[in-house]
Amino acid sequence: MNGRAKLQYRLDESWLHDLHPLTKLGWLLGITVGSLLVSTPWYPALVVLGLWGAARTARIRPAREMRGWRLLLVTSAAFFALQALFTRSGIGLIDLRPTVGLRITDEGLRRGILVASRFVAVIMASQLFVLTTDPSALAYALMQAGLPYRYGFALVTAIRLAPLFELEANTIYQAQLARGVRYDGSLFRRIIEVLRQMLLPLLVGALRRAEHLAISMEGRQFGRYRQRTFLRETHMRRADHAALAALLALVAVTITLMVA
Amino acid sequence: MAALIEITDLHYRYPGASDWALNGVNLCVQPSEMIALAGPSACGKSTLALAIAGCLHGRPGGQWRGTVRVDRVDVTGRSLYENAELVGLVQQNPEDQFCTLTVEDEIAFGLENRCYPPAQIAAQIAWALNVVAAGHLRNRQMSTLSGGEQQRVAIASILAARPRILILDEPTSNLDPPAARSVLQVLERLRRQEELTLILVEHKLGVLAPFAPRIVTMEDGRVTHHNAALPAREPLAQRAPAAPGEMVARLTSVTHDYGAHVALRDISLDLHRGQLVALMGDNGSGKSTLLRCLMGLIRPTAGNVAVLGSVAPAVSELAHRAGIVFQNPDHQLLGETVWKDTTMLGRNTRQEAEVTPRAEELLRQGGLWERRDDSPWRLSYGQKRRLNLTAATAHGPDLLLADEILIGQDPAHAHRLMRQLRAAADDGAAVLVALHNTDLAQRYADRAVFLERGQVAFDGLLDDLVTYLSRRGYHAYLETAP
Repeated sequence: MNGRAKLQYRLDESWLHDLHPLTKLGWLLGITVGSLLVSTPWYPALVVLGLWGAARTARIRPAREMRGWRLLLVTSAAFFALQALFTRSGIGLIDLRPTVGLRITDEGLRRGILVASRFVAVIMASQLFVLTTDPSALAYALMQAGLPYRYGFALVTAIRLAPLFELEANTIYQAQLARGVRYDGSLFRRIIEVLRQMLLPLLVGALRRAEHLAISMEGRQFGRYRQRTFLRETHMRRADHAALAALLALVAVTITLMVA
Repeated sequence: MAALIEITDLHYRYPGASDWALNGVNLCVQPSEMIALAGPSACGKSTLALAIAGCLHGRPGGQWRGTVRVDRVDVTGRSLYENAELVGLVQQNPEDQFCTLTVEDEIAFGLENRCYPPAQIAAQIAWALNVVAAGHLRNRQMSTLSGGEQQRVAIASILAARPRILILDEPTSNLDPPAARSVLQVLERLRRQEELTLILVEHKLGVLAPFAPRIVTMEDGRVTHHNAALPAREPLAQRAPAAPGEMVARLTSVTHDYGAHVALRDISLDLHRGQLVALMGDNGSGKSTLLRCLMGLIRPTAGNVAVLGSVAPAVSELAHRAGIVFQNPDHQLLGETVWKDTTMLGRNTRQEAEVTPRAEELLRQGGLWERRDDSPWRLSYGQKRRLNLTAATAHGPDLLLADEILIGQDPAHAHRLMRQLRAAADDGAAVLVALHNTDLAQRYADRAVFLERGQVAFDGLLDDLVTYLSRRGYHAYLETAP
């Protein structure tokens, strides 16, 4: 265990948490595709503002609860700077040629804002989705929407096992340190060394778990019939219908902007 | 009365294995019986459990001879699914068999696969949780359950489909004594109320004594006794606790938290050369965190850890003078061969000249010298455990830490490991071992530390520990004789 905040679903009550998982998945896809296709800078910038507002009304403080928020801002600032400094087309606004040989243009600034806000919009939408969507509810909703249940449970078990593998990897790492293994040298070399030392124990652990899980699931009739029933039935509510209508409006605006 | 399970001359050999795991098993089990399957590690108990559950005969490459009849029908004539309607199997580690994220989903899983309507599923979940006295867990996330709660949920998830036979593979091995006793009480109530037939694979027969099961013992793939008596508890040999030598480690007001969960609260503790200290306490009381703090693997949130003269040393500083053994032997098999695994620390800390002769001596003592060129992954569970301990002691550490290394060990192996730890203490190391078994602690340790919710509740001699446990109502700890 460690005390570091992880990017994972947090059980809470808010309008965002209450939305149907597929409604949120639709919004995530809509925002991602729209932000990547529309080349008007204010579009992703408005999306970021909208996401910020949605997060705040759902009692989520993005700067505190979203993982790597500072890294996200630094990276998007770097994207902005790269575009602003190295785009040559457009009208010159600031001439730095005498000092550093570069010229900042209006097109460079436009592209900088576009790329940076696209990046922030997509990452922020994804993090908001993860923070407010129960992964097993998502898997159950996908299965009830027609995803074959074998694939749905592949997703559920992967979500279930991921933290166990993380814990196991941490223990193996600690066992190696206790046996005098030192991960010195470059980052690349350290990564290769960690992978080399951990692969076999983790693989053996994974195979053991897979065998036990298969016995457990088949012993409970998993795969016996083509269909199965679900205790937990997820239904769209009025708020979902409103959110989907808003999503349709977003799609319409996106297409209009692309055509324009 | 007709037997519910009839096993006749059953042989089974795993794919690629040279020896028979089951070598002519004959056994009858009556309805509503409680059977305890006992015997040394790798004697075939778990294999027999899988055979009865119908999980073995269809395995590609495995060799099967003989018959297993459940409810008068040969299991080989039924599909795995059909066998599972009659026989439910709860495996050793519940965490490995869960496939969903919430308690309700986990128990619903088998019923949904059977295409039961939601109303019936809800009713059967309520019944199963009620039977295992875990109704309050229904809406919990699986990741928040304790070991005992996980075991109850694992039982409920199988029980919900109402099998007639329930097989549990070492149901108490990961549990502290109070949780183990509570799970066994649930099982006994189920047997009486629901007329369930119970087969428990269990090393710790002492914990089963109040439930008077029929004890079936196995050895080398065969049943040796069909109704064995509970092994008598060997009288405790009086041994004077070793006098504390030079201080090796000191914890001063150590507190550690994992976010909102406080694992250690204001712990102060000294460890001395020549002493073996038993670190005891319920699951989640902070034993593993304490050991990791001492090894420099975790930096405490507050307080001081001083080991071998260094304050707050990192693990890289301690590795050449300390050793630690974790719960799962597979996590510590780091060398390509048994020999390379044993001498790994010597190579990494440039102490090869010291480590090599000692490693050879320890491998010979542990019966592993003949296997020195084998991959450690080919060893049995008990041998892996001995190898872990050998690798952690080959450099003659001044501080030796062991975390629940007796889990899954039969009594003979458990004694062997404790003797190995005792020998390290007698050689001058300070040894701290986390364990649940009071009997073994009394036989081998010089001192006991009992943790309650991250605090030292008791620190003293073993005789006084028994008094303390009785006074505090920890009676289950006093019934843990192997």
